[in-house]
Amino acid sequence: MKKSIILASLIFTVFSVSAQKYFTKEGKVYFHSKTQMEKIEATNSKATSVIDFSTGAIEWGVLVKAFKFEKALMQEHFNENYLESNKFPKSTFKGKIENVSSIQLGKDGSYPVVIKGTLYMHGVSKPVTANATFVVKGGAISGTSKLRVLLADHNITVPAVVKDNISKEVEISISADYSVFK
Amino acid sequence: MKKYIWYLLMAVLAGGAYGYYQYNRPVASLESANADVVLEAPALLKAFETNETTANTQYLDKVIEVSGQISRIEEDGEKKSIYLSTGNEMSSVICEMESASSTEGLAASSKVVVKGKCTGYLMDVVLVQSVVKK
Repeated sequence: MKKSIILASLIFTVFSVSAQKYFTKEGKVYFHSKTQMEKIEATNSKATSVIDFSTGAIEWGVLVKAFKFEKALMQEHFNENYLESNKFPKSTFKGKIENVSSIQLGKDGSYPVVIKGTLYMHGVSKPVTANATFVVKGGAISGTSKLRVLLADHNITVPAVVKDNISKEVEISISADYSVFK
Repeated sequence: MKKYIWYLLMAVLAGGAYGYYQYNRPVASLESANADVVLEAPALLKAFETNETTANTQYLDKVIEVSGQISRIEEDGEKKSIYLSTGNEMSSVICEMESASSTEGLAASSKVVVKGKCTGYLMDVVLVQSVVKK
């Protein structure tokens, strides 16, 4: 009897631990730069993200070459001159949801959180803090966040001739619908 | 003399039109592009799992014609992605389809040949601008 209780609680623990991990391979990352001269925007809908809600650990990975621009020339310049995607094919974010315990996965609601971590982009790692919101609805979990990144922080230099066309700070919006990691 | 001014004006106009065309040029479709590499989905994943740096130099930006079995099709409005089985449950070759490209008649477990541009490897190998080869 005792044994079966131990076993049952063990199975339950393993199950509940595994149910705390969520992931997506269809995460969206959108950024735009707007100046008086030009509006530049791009979307990537193949970002991978994993969250462990038991510890608050969160990771994002994105392939630089999978960003889509409206204009081919912008896409080429982005890859060849600014992000140098042959040398640095991916960007990552690794961090922690500070107040992860406030998120109740079993209860519908909107949970604002603060995420702190490191953004690796163009070969340079920088600490970042971002506000994010998780929404739990009928067992489904989605998350959104926005962060601002200074190009200079990541050694991205814009040539003087086009410095009025590209803003020095870029706003990045991310969103994802997470599924249970099996 | 007048003739030269006329020529100059034409040259400037042509240059301007070319510049404007270049500036607005959309990303070219892969529909009629020739494949740089032809291989099967499990082999493509294997290359990245074995040595990502080597695979990056071999495959990044290349048009890859990859054949395999569909594990699932992900649809998000107009956007579709075909996931190809690799023998590894955790990793697929994900083909993000060109927006106009149709996946009609395709479903999980269908065999398919897809042509797409390789963008690299996260947990999966990701191809973009993909089109189904007929």
